[in-house]
Amino acid sequence: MKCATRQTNSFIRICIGVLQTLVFTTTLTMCLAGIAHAQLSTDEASATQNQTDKLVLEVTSPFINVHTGPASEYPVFHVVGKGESIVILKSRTNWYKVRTFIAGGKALEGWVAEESLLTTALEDGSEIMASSGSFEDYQNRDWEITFAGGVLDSVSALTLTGTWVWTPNLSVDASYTQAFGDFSENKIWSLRMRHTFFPKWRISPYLALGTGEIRTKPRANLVQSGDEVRKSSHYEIGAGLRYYLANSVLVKVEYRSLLALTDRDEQERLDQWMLGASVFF
Amino acid sequence: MHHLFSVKPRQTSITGLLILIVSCLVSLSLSTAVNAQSRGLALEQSQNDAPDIDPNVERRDIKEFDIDSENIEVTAFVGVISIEDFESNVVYGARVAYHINENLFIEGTYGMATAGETSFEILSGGAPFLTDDERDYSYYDASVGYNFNGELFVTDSLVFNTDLYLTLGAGSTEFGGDDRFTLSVGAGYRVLFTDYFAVRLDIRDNMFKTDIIGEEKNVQNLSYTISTSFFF
Repeated sequence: MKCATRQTNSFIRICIGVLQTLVFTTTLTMCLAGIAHAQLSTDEASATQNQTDKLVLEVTSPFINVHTGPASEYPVFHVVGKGESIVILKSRTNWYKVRTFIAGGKALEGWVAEESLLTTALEDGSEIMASSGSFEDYQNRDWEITFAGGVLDSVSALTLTGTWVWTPNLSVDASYTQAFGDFSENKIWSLRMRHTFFPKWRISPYLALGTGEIRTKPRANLVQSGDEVRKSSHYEIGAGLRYYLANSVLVKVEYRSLLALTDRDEQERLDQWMLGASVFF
Repeated sequence: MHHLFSVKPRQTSITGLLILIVSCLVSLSLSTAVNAQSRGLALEQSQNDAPDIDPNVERRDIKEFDIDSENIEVTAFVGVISIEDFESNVVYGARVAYHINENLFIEGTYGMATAGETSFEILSGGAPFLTDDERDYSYYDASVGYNFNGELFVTDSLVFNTDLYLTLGAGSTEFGGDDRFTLSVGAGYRVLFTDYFAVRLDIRDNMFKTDIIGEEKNVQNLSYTISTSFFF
């Protein structure tokens, strides 16, 4: 009987949970939908305001393929011939949604690959360059978000970093690291300055100097090890390589050495190796 | 020259010298004239074409068009997670993805649930293992996903673009007062109702080591979620 009531209780709890979550997700999606619509309408408004600024292109190669979706696997359902024009609506990765007009003035929308778009010209004949997330864009980036995984003194560690690119050479990193040891768990935040040696190279080494705080918490299962979280500040020096992969994505390999200024007599040194990927804006 | 020399051999020395001097002068003056002319040409050319070094570089006129790029996908999800030893419970959370190309994407996930009771706690009716706070289950991960693009044919004319995707990632799970390094493996199906709105079904397995009920062991916490997503 006891069991039965307990089970009913947990069943009711689950039901309430489901209801709560449904309300939560519906509200969230409605908010998101609101934002999306707002964005769309402003886009439309700006489009109607600057009709002349609409990107209309003329096909200069014999033909370009129009796919049903933004990937090469999607079937080609239309072909735009030389001399015909397309209007660019939006992009997804390397694909562009275009509108074109077929016989009878009927509008038709589909997706065109970036390579195809490069074989078109503006109405005045000037060439087209696509630059979103390109290497040129990379040179002018302002922000980076990096997620990296690796080992910190032989335990797994994950690091999330936000970067402000100050000058082509100098950038400021704010990072948060979580390391999962068997007896304790470390949370490290740090602020540091990073110097990239050859910002114009696709692959370039960098050096970093920074400071921050290490919080060490003993595992919950340790017998009365004390629940207190130990805090100590640290200095760090790091060296790494970063590589521009493609489309707003970088790959980074890094080593950093942390010197923890503990309360004890000796200071502690920690080494971290990590491999990560960054997206830049 | 040879002809002249042969006709009047006696005058050779003087006349020859004179002629030599004259011819030298003529050739000199000619050469300077030609030089001057060519320089004039060069000058003209430099006025027409760009010189080797010109500090007044004309600006290239580049028109920029801002194209609305929709590579970021924001997702809200709800579903059921089976927390090993602690019943199945409702899980909800959010994901943010960045689509690198038509196949690859990277995605961050944050999810929350409340763990139930172990069968031991229920059967014995004794003291609970964990406090209410320790029953709060939350996790995050960063994953790489691979899309297999496809289509869903509902009728002959009603067709939606879809992606079947596999994901692999790492993160952390906070449960029972501990954070544990977590591996996340999953698969999902995304149906794009419009270019920017999609419904997704996901299956994820979150694996980590824990000693919450005694011996340390690997646990597999499976979750099934349904979500709506928007591309920005």
